[in-house]
Amino acid sequence: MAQLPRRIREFLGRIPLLAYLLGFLAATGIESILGKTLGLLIGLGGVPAFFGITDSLSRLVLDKGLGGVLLSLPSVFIYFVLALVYDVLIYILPVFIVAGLLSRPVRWFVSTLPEWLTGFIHMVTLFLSLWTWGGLVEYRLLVVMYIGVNIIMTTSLNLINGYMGEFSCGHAGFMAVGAYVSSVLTVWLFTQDDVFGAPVLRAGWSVILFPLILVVGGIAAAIMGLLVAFPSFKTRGDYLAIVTISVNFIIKSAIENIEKIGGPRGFMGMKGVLRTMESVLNVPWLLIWTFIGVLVTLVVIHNFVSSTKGKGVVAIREDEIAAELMSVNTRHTKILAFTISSFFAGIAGGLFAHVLGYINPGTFTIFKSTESLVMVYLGGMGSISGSVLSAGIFTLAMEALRPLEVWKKVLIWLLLILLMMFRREGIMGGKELTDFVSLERLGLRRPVKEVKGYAPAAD
Amino acid sequence: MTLAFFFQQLLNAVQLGSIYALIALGYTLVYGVLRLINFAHGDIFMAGAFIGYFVATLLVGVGIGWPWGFILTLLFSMILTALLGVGIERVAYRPLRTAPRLSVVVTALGVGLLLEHIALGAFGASRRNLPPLLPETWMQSVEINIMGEYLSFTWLKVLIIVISLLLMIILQVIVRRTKAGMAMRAISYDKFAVPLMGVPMDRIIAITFILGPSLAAAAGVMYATQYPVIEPYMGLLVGWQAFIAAVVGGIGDIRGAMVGGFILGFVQIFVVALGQFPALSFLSSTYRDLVAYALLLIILVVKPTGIFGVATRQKV
Repeated sequence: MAQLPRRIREFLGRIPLLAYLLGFLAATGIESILGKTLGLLIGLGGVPAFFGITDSLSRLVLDKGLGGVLLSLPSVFIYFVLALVYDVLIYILPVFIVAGLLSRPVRWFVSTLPEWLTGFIHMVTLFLSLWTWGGLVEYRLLVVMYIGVNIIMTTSLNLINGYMGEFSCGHAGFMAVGAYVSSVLTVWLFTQDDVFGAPVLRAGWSVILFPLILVVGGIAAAIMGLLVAFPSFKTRGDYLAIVTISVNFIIKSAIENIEKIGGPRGFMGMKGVLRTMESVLNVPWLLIWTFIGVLVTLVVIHNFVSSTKGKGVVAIREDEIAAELMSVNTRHTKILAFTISSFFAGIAGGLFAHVLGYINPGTFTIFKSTESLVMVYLGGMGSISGSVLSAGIFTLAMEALRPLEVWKKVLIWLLLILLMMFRREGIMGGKELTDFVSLERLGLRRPVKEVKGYAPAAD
Repeated sequence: MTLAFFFQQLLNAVQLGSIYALIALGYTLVYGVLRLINFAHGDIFMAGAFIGYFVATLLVGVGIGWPWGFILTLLFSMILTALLGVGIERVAYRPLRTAPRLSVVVTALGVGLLLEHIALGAFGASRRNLPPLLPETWMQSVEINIMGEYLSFTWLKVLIIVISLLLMIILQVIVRRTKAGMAMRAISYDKFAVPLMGVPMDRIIAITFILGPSLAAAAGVMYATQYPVIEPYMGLLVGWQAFIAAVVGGIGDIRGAMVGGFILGFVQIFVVALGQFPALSFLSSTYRDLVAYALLLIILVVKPTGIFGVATRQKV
């Protein structure tokens, strides 16, 4: 195990990130041209949605008892092996061939550009590959956006649970506030609705105002975040956890009692908003905004925890009284941390509502909060790259295991318990990806030029 | 508000509150000894109700009726649920004895959700009714005349209150008068020095996990007799309310759990009851949870350790 980090480091450092991204883009391109033919040829009956995991599991017969499960295992296995062949041919071979071939040119290319442009090119490549990958099967696009929403949720919760060391388990409440506020605003402004009547603004505004409305939802959630922030001055640990749970329940219960926005029946009409936006310009608006939302969240939270204020947050985790003595304004810092965290939960909620097209108070219960918690602990507390990684893995696993129905949840909670027993620090163990492999090796930053008399730290 | 109406609601409140108190005691016992919020406790209550359901179905099928059917159901579900509780402690919590407290809390949350979804997978989401363990007449409402007003109640409610009070008294005796109880109190006082005095920590913790879940199982069986609904999510609904009760009273304090249970029962029943008056008609039953949680929030802000809780002083 001790060798593992070094191995990963060497492996990741060999080829720049952009080459992998281009490889993935090439793979998705090949899939969109050849995928269906290959799928039919092998006998998969089309393009498998999630690398064949979902499709093979859906062959499992669950409703005929244990015998049914055992009898259906061979067909699951055969399908899985076939899907594996497909995955190797479509994804793994192209990714590694293209990445290997492009490794040197990309490294040279990246070193000639300014860093902001390099970052931008990475983002565009990632976006394009996600778009082509998701464009092939509609369901994939949905899952990609779920992953985005979950990344925002996990990273923002990590600020409280990981960096500040508090135990917040009511994050879904803030998500609910953001979801409802932004959905009500967009539906009121841009669509014909039974409750709110004709659209208030012309369709063209929807494209411009959509991100602003998301921000308004985030601000509303941040204000609710104060409900937790103020008690946190006096209360810590278990009792603050209870405060967060009760805030979650209060928000859910309050929404249930507002008849105008559907009460317990829920609220819909966000699909209409999307149609309005697409009538102006037909691009995948939600994918774009989810992508941008994730980027902004990551940048803001990363910069916040690296700033002086953010160091104060970590100081509170280590020892609140000592932090206070070292001139950290703990009250101010706590308010800031809670509002930032719930602001992004609100943004995630707004995106989630528009991706799903329908929300109801039952979506934002303690279950949802616990899911975010699982993702934070899976990725590792106090690690942003861990959060991103675990949100991706967890969301994909949730969707891929969907055919298992209820037992999927059993597996997930079992995983959480086992995780706590055997690897408490999560996947990344409080480290960032850049602790294993430097930005220079990834090709995200230009290599430091050797200056005479100065030895750059070995990566 | 007329007197009869008041007494009727009072009876309802005491009955609901005693069930809350029984579950809250489980939260508080474990917290007192382990300093762990056992989030799985609500689902242990659910498991108790399910075990009660299976035992009762078996007994009624064999032909054992009132009163032995009821007593045996109560007894067996308490024993089996206690075994479940001890098992959970042994498998999930004991390996984490030295881990940071947060990990244990997360584990507890996970165990609760695991139980819930195992029940959902194994028994389905459909609601089940407990087979009739009590004679019909116990379920029917009886009316007595108080100053021209009729007060209606069922003997079942009285039975629930009596059994709950009995169990609470037994618990008090165990905690106050036995050696094991003394050890429990000692451990909650000082976790590090007491094992050095020769007190077997593991055994005392196991006893705690016998007491809490068996009380929860009793509450589960009685809840299922009063409200004939057994489903995997009942732990989520009732368990969390009981948890609030424990916190309101001051988690870790046994009197607190009882008082908190009754307070919450009163608040919830009277929020609904007051809604029957025209002037307060905005208080519909859907506000029950909202008021309960708002109460919790206010208590935590004003007195963060609950009514009976002692403020923990931080050493500088």
